[in-house]
Amino acid sequence: MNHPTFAAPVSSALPLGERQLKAFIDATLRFFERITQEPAEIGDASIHLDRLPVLDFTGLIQISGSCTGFIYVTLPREMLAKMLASIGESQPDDEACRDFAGEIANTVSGNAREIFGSQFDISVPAPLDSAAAASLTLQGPSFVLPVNWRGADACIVIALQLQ
Amino acid sequence: MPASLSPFNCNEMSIHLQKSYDRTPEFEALAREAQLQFVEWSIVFALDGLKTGAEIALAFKLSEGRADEIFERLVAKGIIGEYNMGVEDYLQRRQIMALNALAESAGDGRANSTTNGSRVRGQRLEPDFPMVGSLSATISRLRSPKSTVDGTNGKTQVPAASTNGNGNAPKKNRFRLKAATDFIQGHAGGGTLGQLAVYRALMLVPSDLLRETGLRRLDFNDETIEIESPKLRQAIVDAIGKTLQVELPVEYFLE
Repeated sequence: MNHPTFAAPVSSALPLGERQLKAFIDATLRFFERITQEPAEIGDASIHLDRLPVLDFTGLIQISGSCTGFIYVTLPREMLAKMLASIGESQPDDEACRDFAGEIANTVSGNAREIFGSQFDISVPAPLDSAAAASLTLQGPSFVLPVNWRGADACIVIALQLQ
Repeated sequence: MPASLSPFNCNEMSIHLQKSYDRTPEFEALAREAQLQFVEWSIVFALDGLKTGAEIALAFKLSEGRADEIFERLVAKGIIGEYNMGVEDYLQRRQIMALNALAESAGDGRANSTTNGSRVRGQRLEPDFPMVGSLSATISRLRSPKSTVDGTNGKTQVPAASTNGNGNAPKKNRFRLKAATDFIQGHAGGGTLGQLAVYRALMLVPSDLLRETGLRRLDFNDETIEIESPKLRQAIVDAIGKTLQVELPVEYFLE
């Protein structure tokens, strides 16, 4: 049996390092706590090789450069309604949920610009409803991290491919 | 040991440098509390029960006095201990030394054979630094698949080769994806960081090869996914190599 030999400690041979991606996820998770004063919990991550997961509302940014693709947060209506309620919106309708998804997209965009900004072009953030988000496609794998907040699950999705 | 490997005069060499050492059974517990210098930790993790103190000292470019001092300190702390080998270990060591000698005589820089924690290139014994990630992950990596220190008697256990009824080892040809993803996670620090490293590695695997498997989703705890395609196996191992900057063959993951 040949054992592996290490040429160097873990390095960033790829354009995006896992530490950068982790920093982005952590920053996005902090959004939940900042807005609602209640932290979200992360679930078991998975890698999707087929369809991108899409819930009722999605806040998305597109990335281009040495990697292209999307980074987004997709949330169920139930969670958005609870989040809005926690900040005083008692009867949130779809319009309010969509606007709030836009807020989340802004946060995602701000975090992405801060963490990956020098390496990539980052699009204007966009809120999408489920029909629009369902048309998103990607050839490669996507990293899906469930985020639980007050019993409802959203997902942070990193769907990038190398150019 | 080839004379070219050692700058020391063996007759005058410290007792510490003539012996082989390994981490003690108490290492895991002690390591969590111990405060050591960087070079001391490096030595602790480079030990494999095979290399002598002199070889370690040479690999880390330490003087005899300095190396002796470090070994003495580590032994006194109970972190490392003298390694007494059984016949199986002796035979394994002899085989590895023969491979090392072969690599040295080839001397082309590419001929390198691993010795569970170091590799020989030409005449140089280079230490590896496999301590990326959490202590637990590192410890678990150190334990497997190399020989392990038994917690009851402190002796090194060489994993017994399983055999079929004819006394021949069965051919390994099973490539579980989880073995590969665990490897990546272990070296990238585990947790979400490790999972993201797996994702980064899979980004490097041609997507048509991945799609050919019919796989739609990879859960990190899924033990059942096996990779049949030799091309995909190689692509995954290549991707791991690029992601972690590690050299390893497909065979490493075969079960």
